[in-house]
Amino acid sequence: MTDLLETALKDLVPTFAGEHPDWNDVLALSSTPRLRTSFVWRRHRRRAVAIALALVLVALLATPAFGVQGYVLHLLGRKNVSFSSSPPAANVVKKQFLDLPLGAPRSFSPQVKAAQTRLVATFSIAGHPRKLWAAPTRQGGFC
Amino acid sequence: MSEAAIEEVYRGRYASFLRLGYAMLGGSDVAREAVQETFATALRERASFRGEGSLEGWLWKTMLNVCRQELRRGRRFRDEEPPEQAMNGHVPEWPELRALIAALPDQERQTLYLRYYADLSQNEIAEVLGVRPGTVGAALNHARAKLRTALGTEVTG
Repeated sequence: MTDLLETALKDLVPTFAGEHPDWNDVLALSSTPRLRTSFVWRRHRRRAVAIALALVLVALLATPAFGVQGYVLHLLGRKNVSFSSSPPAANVVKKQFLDLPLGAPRSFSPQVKAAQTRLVATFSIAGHPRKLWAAPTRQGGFC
Repeated sequence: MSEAAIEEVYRGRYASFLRLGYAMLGGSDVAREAVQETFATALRERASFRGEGSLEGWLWKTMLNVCRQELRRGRRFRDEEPPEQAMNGHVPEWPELRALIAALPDQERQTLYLRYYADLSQNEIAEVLGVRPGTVGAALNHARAKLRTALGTEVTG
Protein backbone atom coordinates (compact mmCIF):
# COMPACT_ATOMS: atom_id res chain seq x y z
CA MET A 1 0.00 0.00 0.00
CA THR A 2 1.43 3.32 -1.03
CA ASP A 3 0.64 6.46 0.93
CA LEU A 4 1.55 9.43 -1.23
CA LEU A 5 1.52 11.82 1.73
CA GLU A 6 3.98 9.63 3.66
CA THR A 7 6.30 9.60 0.66
CA ALA A 8 5.95 13.34 0.15
CA LEU A 9 6.71 14.06 3.81
CA LYS A 10 9.82 11.90 3.77
CA ASP A 11 11.01 13.50 0.52
CA LEU A 12 10.57 17.04 1.87
CA VAL A 13 13.89 16.90 3.76
CA PRO A 14 17.26 15.55 2.56
CA THR A 15 18.57 12.37 4.15
CA PHE A 16 22.00 13.92 4.95
CA ALA A 17 23.33 10.37 4.58
CA GLY A 18 26.77 11.54 3.44
CA GLU A 19 27.29 14.12 6.20
CA HIS A 20 30.21 13.79 8.59
CA PRO A 21 29.78 15.00 12.16
CA ASP A 22 32.47 17.33 13.50
CA TRP A 23 32.83 16.73 17.23
CA ASN A 24 35.94 18.91 17.48
CA ASP A 25 33.88 21.85 16.27
CA VAL A 26 31.29 21.13 18.97
CA LEU A 27 34.02 21.05 21.61
CA ALA A 28 35.44 24.36 20.36
CA LEU A 29 31.99 25.97 20.35
CA SER A 30 31.23 24.77 23.84
CA SER A 31 34.41 26.22 25.30
CA THR A 32 34.03 29.73 23.86
CA PRO A 33 31.85 32.36 25.56
CA ARG A 34 28.38 32.22 24.13
CA LEU A 35 27.70 35.13 21.81
CA ARG A 36 24.02 35.57 21.24
CA THR A 37 24.36 36.27 17.58
CA SER A 38 21.95 34.96 15.08
CA PHE A 39 23.07 32.26 12.65
CA VAL A 40 21.91 34.66 9.93
CA TRP A 41 24.37 37.32 11.16
CA ARG A 42 27.24 34.86 11.29
CA ARG A 43 26.46 33.40 7.91
CA HIS A 44 26.00 36.69 6.11
CA ARG A 45 29.56 37.84 6.63
CA ARG A 46 29.62 39.86 3.43
CA ARG A 47 26.65 41.88 4.61
CA ALA A 48 28.25 42.33 8.05
CA VAL A 49 31.51 43.54 6.46
CA ALA A 50 29.61 45.91 4.17
CA ILE A 51 27.74 47.43 7.11
CA ALA A 52 30.98 47.80 9.09
CA LEU A 53 32.68 49.54 6.14
CA ALA A 54 29.71 51.87 5.74
CA LEU A 55 29.93 52.84 9.42
CA VAL A 56 33.66 53.51 9.08
CA LEU A 57 32.99 55.70 6.02
CA VAL A 58 30.36 57.70 7.89
CA ALA A 59 32.80 58.21 10.78
CA LEU A 60 35.52 59.38 8.37
CA LEU A 61 33.17 61.82 6.65
CA ALA A 62 31.80 63.16 9.92
CA THR A 63 35.22 63.81 11.42
CA PRO A 64 36.97 66.75 9.71
CA ALA A 65 40.35 65.83 11.22
CA PHE A 66 40.67 62.87 8.85
CA GLY A 67 40.54 65.16 5.83
CA VAL A 68 38.05 62.97 3.98
CA GLN A 69 35.27 65.48 4.44
CA GLY A 70 37.30 68.28 2.85
CA TYR A 71 38.24 66.08 -0.07
CA VAL A 72 34.63 65.14 -0.75
CA LEU A 73 33.51 68.77 -0.49
CA HIS A 74 36.24 69.74 -2.94
CA LEU A 75 34.97 67.13 -5.37
CA LEU A 76 31.47 68.59 -5.01
CA GLY A 77 32.78 72.09 -5.70
CA ARG A 78 32.27 73.27 -2.15
CA LYS A 79 34.83 74.74 0.22
CA ASN A 80 35.01 74.81 3.99
CA VAL A 81 35.59 78.28 5.35
CA SER A 82 37.59 78.93 8.45
CA PHE A 83 35.78 81.66 10.36
CA SER A 84 38.65 82.45 12.69
CA SER A 85 41.05 83.15 9.82
CA SER A 86 38.56 85.25 7.82
CA PRO A 87 39.22 89.02 7.78
CA PRO A 88 37.28 91.10 10.34
CA ALA A 89 34.43 93.25 9.06
CA ALA A 90 34.43 97.01 8.88
CA ASN A 91 32.73 98.86 11.73
CA VAL A 92 29.83 99.88 9.51
CA VAL A 93 29.06 96.17 8.91
CA LYS A 94 29.44 95.32 12.60
CA LYS A 95 26.95 98.14 13.36
CA GLN A 96 24.44 96.54 11.00
CA PHE A 97 24.73 93.23 12.89
CA LEU A 98 24.37 95.13 16.18
CA ASP A 99 21.15 96.73 14.95
CA LEU A 100 19.59 93.41 13.83
CA PRO A 101 17.35 92.95 16.91
CA LEU A 102 16.12 96.57 16.95
CA GLY A 103 12.33 96.67 16.75
CA ALA A 104 11.99 92.89 16.82
CA PRO A 105 10.39 90.83 19.64
CA ARG A 106 12.92 89.70 22.25
CA SER A 107 12.50 86.06 21.27
CA PHE A 108 13.52 86.91 17.69
CA SER A 109 16.87 88.39 18.72
CA PRO A 110 19.73 86.36 17.19
CA GLN A 111 21.95 87.40 20.17
CA VAL A 112 24.73 88.02 17.71
CA LYS A 113 28.23 88.96 18.84
CA ALA A 114 28.44 91.88 16.43
CA ALA A 115 32.00 92.85 17.37
CA GLN A 116 33.26 89.53 15.94
CA THR A 117 31.70 89.87 12.48
CA ARG A 118 33.98 88.64 9.66
CA LEU A 119 33.98 88.40 5.86
CA VAL A 120 33.59 84.69 5.11
CA ALA A 121 33.00 84.62 1.34
CA THR A 122 32.79 86.66 -1.83
CA PHE A 123 30.99 85.57 -4.95
CA SER A 124 29.24 86.91 -7.98
CA ILE A 125 25.48 87.07 -8.50
CA ALA A 126 24.24 88.11 -11.94
CA GLY A 127 27.66 89.60 -12.65
CA HIS A 128 27.72 91.71 -9.48
CA PRO A 129 30.22 90.99 -6.72
CA ARG A 130 28.66 90.22 -3.37
CA LYS A 131 30.13 89.68 0.09
CA LEU A 132 28.93 87.34 2.80
CA TRP A 133 29.44 88.43 6.40
CA ALA A 134 28.94 86.20 9.41
CA ALA A 135 29.02 86.74 13.14
CA PRO A 136 28.90 84.17 15.96
CA THR A 137 25.89 84.08 18.24
CA ARG A 138 25.66 83.51 21.96
CA GLN A 139 23.89 80.19 21.37
CA GLY A 140 26.98 78.86 19.61
CA GLY A 141 25.91 79.15 15.97
CA PHE A 142 26.44 81.83 13.30
CA CYS A 143 24.32 84.64 11.97
CA MET B 1 26.19 13.00 32.55
CA SER B 2 29.42 12.47 30.66
CA GLU B 3 30.78 14.17 27.60
CA ALA B 4 31.26 10.71 26.06
CA ALA B 5 27.54 9.95 26.35
CA ILE B 6 26.66 13.18 24.55
CA GLU B 7 29.23 12.49 21.87
CA GLU B 8 27.77 9.02 21.34
CA VAL B 9 24.34 10.46 20.62
CA TYR B 10 25.89 13.14 18.40
CA ARG B 11 27.70 10.64 16.21
CA GLY B 12 24.90 8.10 16.16
CA ARG B 13 22.01 10.47 15.41
CA TYR B 14 23.74 13.29 13.55
CA ALA B 15 21.73 12.86 10.35
CA SER B 16 18.41 12.82 12.23
CA PHE B 17 19.26 16.03 14.08
CA LEU B 18 20.20 17.59 10.74
CA ARG B 19 16.89 16.54 9.25
CA LEU B 20 14.94 18.10 12.10
CA GLY B 21 16.98 21.30 11.79
CA TYR B 22 16.36 21.42 8.06
CA ALA B 23 12.62 20.90 8.53
CA MET B 24 12.35 23.67 11.13
CA LEU B 25 14.75 26.23 9.66
CA GLY B 26 14.54 25.55 5.94
CA GLY B 27 18.19 25.12 4.94
CA SER B 28 21.20 22.82 5.19
CA ASP B 29 23.74 25.37 6.44
CA VAL B 30 21.52 26.72 9.15
CA ALA B 31 20.56 23.16 10.13
CA ARG B 32 24.25 22.25 10.57
CA GLU B 33 24.82 25.31 12.73
CA ALA B 34 21.75 24.49 14.81
CA VAL B 35 23.01 20.95 15.45
CA GLN B 36 26.48 22.16 16.44
CA GLU B 37 24.97 24.79 18.73
CA THR B 38 22.64 22.19 20.28
CA PHE B 39 25.45 19.87 21.30
CA ALA B 40 27.72 22.69 22.37
CA THR B 41 24.90 23.93 24.60
CA ALA B 42 24.43 20.41 25.94
CA LEU B 43 28.10 20.22 26.89
CA ARG B 44 28.03 23.63 28.56
CA GLU B 45 24.82 22.94 30.47
CA ARG B 46 25.05 19.20 31.13
CA ALA B 47 25.01 19.83 34.85
CA SER B 48 21.40 20.96 34.46
CA PHE B 49 20.34 17.50 33.22
CA ARG B 50 18.91 15.84 36.29
CA GLY B 51 18.20 12.46 34.72
CA GLU B 52 14.46 13.07 34.39
CA GLY B 53 13.91 11.22 31.14
CA SER B 54 16.47 10.01 28.66
CA LEU B 55 19.59 11.85 27.59
CA GLU B 56 18.50 11.72 23.96
CA GLY B 57 15.10 13.19 24.85
CA TRP B 58 16.85 16.06 26.62
CA LEU B 59 19.03 16.64 23.55
CA TRP B 60 15.99 16.73 21.25
CA LYS B 61 14.37 19.31 23.55
CA THR B 62 17.55 21.36 23.38
CA MET B 63 17.52 21.14 19.57
CA LEU B 64 13.91 22.33 19.44
CA ASN B 65 14.77 25.26 21.72
CA VAL B 66 17.78 26.23 19.61
CA CYS B 67 15.66 26.18 16.44
CA ARG B 68 12.83 28.15 18.10
CA GLN B 69 15.33 30.80 19.24
CA GLU B 70 16.58 31.19 15.70
CA LEU B 71 13.03 31.50 14.38
CA ARG B 72 12.20 34.09 17.07
CA ARG B 73 15.13 36.20 15.92
CA GLY B 74 13.11 36.79 12.82
CA ARG B 75 14.91 34.51 10.44
CA ARG B 76 12.52 34.09 7.53
CA PHE B 77 11.71 30.57 6.55
CA ARG B 78 13.06 30.15 3.08
CA ASP B 79 14.55 27.48 0.91
CA GLU B 80 18.29 27.85 0.55
CA GLU B 81 18.64 25.25 -2.14
CA PRO B 82 16.57 24.55 -5.24
CA PRO B 83 14.10 21.76 -4.70
CA GLU B 84 15.90 19.44 -7.11
CA GLN B 85 18.96 19.36 -4.87
CA ALA B 86 17.21 19.44 -1.54
CA MET B 87 14.74 16.69 -2.19
CA ASN B 88 17.11 13.74 -2.49
CA GLY B 89 17.08 14.11 -6.24
CA HIS B 90 13.30 14.11 -6.45
CA VAL B 91 11.36 17.16 -7.48
CA PRO B 92 8.59 17.41 -4.88
CA GLU B 93 5.19 16.51 -6.19
CA TRP B 94 3.53 19.03 -3.92
CA PRO B 95 5.71 22.13 -3.51
CA GLU B 96 2.94 23.63 -1.41
CA LEU B 97 3.39 20.92 1.23
CA ARG B 98 5.98 22.96 3.15
CA ALA B 99 3.61 25.93 3.41
CA LEU B 100 0.77 23.67 4.55
CA ILE B 101 2.94 22.19 7.29
CA ALA B 102 4.02 25.68 8.39
CA ALA B 103 0.34 26.57 8.79
CA LEU B 104 -0.33 23.69 11.21
CA PRO B 105 -0.65 24.41 14.95
CA ASP B 106 2.73 24.28 16.74
CA GLN B 107 2.16 20.98 18.54
CA GLU B 108 0.95 19.18 15.40
CA ARG B 109 3.84 20.53 13.33
CA GLN B 110 6.49 19.60 15.91
CA THR B 111 4.95 16.16 16.34
CA LEU B 112 5.11 15.68 12.59
CA TYR B 113 8.75 16.80 12.46
CA LEU B 114 9.82 14.57 15.35
CA ARG B 115 8.02 11.59 13.83
CA TYR B 116 9.19 11.90 10.23
CA TYR B 117 12.60 13.56 10.55
CA ALA B 118 13.87 12.64 14.00
CA ASP B 119 12.39 9.13 13.61
CA LEU B 120 11.13 9.11 17.17
CA SER B 121 8.44 6.79 18.49
CA GLN B 122 5.20 8.06 19.95
CA ASN B 123 6.51 7.59 23.51
CA GLU B 124 9.77 9.34 22.70
CA ILE B 125 7.92 12.27 21.13
CA ALA B 126 5.70 12.47 24.21
CA GLU B 127 8.80 12.71 26.43
CA VAL B 128 10.34 15.45 24.27
CA LEU B 129 7.18 17.55 24.12
CA GLY B 130 6.11 16.86 27.70
CA VAL B 131 2.71 15.45 26.76
CA ARG B 132 0.97 12.08 26.97
CA PRO B 133 1.55 9.49 24.21
CA GLY B 134 -2.15 9.62 23.36
CA THR B 135 -1.86 13.34 22.70
CA VAL B 136 1.00 12.63 20.29
CA GLY B 137 -1.08 10.08 18.42
CA ALA B 138 -4.02 12.45 18.14
CA ALA B 139 -1.80 15.32 16.97
CA LEU B 140 -0.23 13.14 14.28
CA ASN B 141 -3.59 11.95 13.04
CA HIS B 142 -5.00 15.48 12.91
CA ALA B 143 -1.94 16.78 11.07
CA ARG B 144 -2.02 14.00 8.49
CA ALA B 145 -5.76 14.40 7.95
CA LYS B 146 -5.42 18.15 7.37
CA LEU B 147 -2.57 17.67 4.92
CA ARG B 148 -4.39 14.94 3.02
CA THR B 149 -7.50 17.08 2.75
CA ALA B 150 -5.53 20.09 1.57
CA LEU B 151 -3.54 18.09 -0.96
CA GLY B 152 -6.39 15.87 -2.05
CA THR B 153 -4.19 12.79 -1.67
CA GLU B 154 -5.42 9.26 -1.19
CA VAL B 155 -3.95 5.97 -0.25
CA THR B 156 -3.35 3.87 -3.32
CA GLY B 157 -2.10 0.40 -3.77
